[in-house]
Amino acid sequence: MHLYLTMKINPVRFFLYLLTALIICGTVKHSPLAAETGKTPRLVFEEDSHNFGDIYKGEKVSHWFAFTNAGTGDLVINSVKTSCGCTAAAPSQKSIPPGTGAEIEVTFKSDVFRGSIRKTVTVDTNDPEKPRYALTIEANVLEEVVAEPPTLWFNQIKLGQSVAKEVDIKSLTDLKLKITKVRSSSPVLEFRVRKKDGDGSPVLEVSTRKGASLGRFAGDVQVFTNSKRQPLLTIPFFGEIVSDVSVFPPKISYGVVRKGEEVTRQVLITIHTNDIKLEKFDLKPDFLGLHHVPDSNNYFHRLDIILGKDVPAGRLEGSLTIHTTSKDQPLLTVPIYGVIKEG
Amino acid sequence: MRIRRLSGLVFLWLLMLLYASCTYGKSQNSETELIIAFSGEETGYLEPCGCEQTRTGGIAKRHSLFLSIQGENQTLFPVSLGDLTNHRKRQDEIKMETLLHALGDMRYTLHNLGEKDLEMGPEVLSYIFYSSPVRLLSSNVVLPDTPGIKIHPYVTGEVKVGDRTIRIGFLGILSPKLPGGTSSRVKIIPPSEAIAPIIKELRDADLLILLSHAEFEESKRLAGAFPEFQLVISGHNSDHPEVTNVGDTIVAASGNKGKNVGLFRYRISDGKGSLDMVELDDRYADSSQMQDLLDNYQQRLRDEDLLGKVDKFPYEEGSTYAGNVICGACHQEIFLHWETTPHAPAYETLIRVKHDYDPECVACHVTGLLNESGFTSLEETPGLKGVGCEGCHGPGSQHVDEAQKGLKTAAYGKLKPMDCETCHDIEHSSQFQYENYWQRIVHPKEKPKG
Repeated sequence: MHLYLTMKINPVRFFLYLLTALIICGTVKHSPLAAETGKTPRLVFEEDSHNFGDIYKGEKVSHWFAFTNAGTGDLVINSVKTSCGCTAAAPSQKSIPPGTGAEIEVTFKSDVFRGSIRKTVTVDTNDPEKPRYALTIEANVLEEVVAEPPTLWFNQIKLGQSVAKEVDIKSLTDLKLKITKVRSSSPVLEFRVRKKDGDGSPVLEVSTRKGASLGRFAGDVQVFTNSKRQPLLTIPFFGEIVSDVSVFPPKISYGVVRKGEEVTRQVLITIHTNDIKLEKFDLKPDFLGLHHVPDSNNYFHRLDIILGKDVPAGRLEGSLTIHTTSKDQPLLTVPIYGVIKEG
Repeated sequence: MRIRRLSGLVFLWLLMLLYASCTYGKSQNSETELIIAFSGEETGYLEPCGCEQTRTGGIAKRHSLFLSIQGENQTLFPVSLGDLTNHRKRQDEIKMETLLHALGDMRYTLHNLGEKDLEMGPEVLSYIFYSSPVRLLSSNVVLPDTPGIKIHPYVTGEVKVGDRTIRIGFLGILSPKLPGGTSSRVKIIPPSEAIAPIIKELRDADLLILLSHAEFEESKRLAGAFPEFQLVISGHNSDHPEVTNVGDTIVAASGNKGKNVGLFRYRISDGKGSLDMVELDDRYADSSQMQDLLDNYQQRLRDEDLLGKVDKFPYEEGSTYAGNVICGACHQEIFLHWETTPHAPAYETLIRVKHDYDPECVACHVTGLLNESGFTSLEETPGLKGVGCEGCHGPGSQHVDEAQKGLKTAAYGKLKPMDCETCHDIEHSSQFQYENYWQRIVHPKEKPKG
């Protein structure tokens, strides 16, 4: 207000300036092309949602969303975006003259879904009134083949022991289900297929080998069936073969550290056999620091491995050796890696 | 006269500036705001694939967004909905550690427990959350007694604005329908049962927020049952942002993989809130601090030699990889043409961006990483680097044997357009259209061998 008074601009001129400013700003914000030519496109979809109804897992379904350009200028499809890897969408043409139409093909792959799903496709155009449209597809994904339980959780298994679990492989349709092949990338697991008493449906027996070596194991069991809709069923698994003591993580990696930065990595030591004690720790190279946080219950020990500020630049390779009273695991070695770079 | 005209122009310019500042966005106004930023279901998505032209999401862009909206009148409270990773292999553990480190650096207050987090197991959660400033939240999940891990049934925060102190209460639930393979040692209380007593306890809070790791419809039902919440942050299999109102409660999902961030703006003056969804696209640069973390992650994958520990399945037909040189011995013209296609230097593109030890990237830049006898490392299997002949056509040892014995081998190597989509999927190659891309690699037809 003070500025206005000192400049002595009359109210009419002030109003004109204001009007000009608003028009300029408004024009810049909206489509300059439309303002220049006076012709504007207008996108009109016949429908903005489609329900595929019931589909089976593994099926790939498509729908064409038809639209017209009801405006006076060329309609340009700037982008068609899907936020899910399961959905693909593409326009049949990118520039649509006034009075003509085109389609956006939306394809949905149901491989990893079950139950009701709803996905959105975003269409960005040069329509000045509504530059962004959202198209929606819906479906109810049915499974022809299911595994119960869907995941195998073996927890901790003592070295030399074997744990067996059963998975019911069921068909939710009238398909007489057969397992044609079972495989896994892990040498820890072995399989047997038998028929269930009663309905004769397949049961997959999964057991850990007695000779499996120490450490965590994880992966997928692939079950191939005679279902044409869902020939492959994937069952994730996880477990750990332990003896008296286990250590996590299997390797200590500092990654890339700037020189002068102090970084601490932790190591968890779990004692699985009550009378086992931790005797001492050796750490290489010498410039690494160690802080032991013991557990009063002698179950869950923590070590802080400290990379100090004075460490020289270059590649770091070392190890942590844990000495225990275990006959089977007197020494546990954890490799240490890192790169210390200048500045 | 000239001075008056000049002063008029200056005034006009000032007016334009004023107008631009008014229309720039609510974040620029002078009213004091508390901003609850939320993201979730990253499911291991640390950064967008470098192959993509349009790169959306990732921790580096998210950090830039947060740095850009922290102002004098704004207090940012980032919260995480759950599910940092998707699987529980070693790479996922390192990802989870990296993501949590990133959340800590971005000053996230809490992380709500998702079913994928639970599947990592209490020991891994204990290891990862032990020294993190990010608190683990769940109002309805009870873990077996594991030293070093603490789950908060609720988290409160206070923001001081002048003489006033705004008290915020966060609750978090996991839908009991979601955990599939979780250990039987984990107990999940029905959400309504868990929420009711906590709401009573937090009745003095100015702002109550529920992080609902559940399907959108279930989150809406909870919003209806507990109108005390001003905001219900929802998400599970929610791959796009969604916002609705249930009574006075805003129910919002920011979608998965951290491609969008929700910003709930709570005005201190009138206690009202509004919501913006921000897509993390090219408007946001990569923050150098997060880029350092990502470099660190790549170095850790290399140090732990995860490329050498990839799960490998035998190829279905029992054939093994022969390598490009063997293919080229008979198919010279095709081999020479292949060397000119983008498939040939696919591995070198990864070396350039320092992702050549990341199994998730390498799988689509070499031949047969996920099959026995396929690529293991540049040193051991140099003939399988790049997307070679067998990268598309499958292992060729049986084809070679048959050819050497003079048998007909017409069945080998037939492809369908869908086969390309194993790698050229929407996440890594969104512009892929078979007809166009095929032209970039189509090789010359050979004369039938007599």
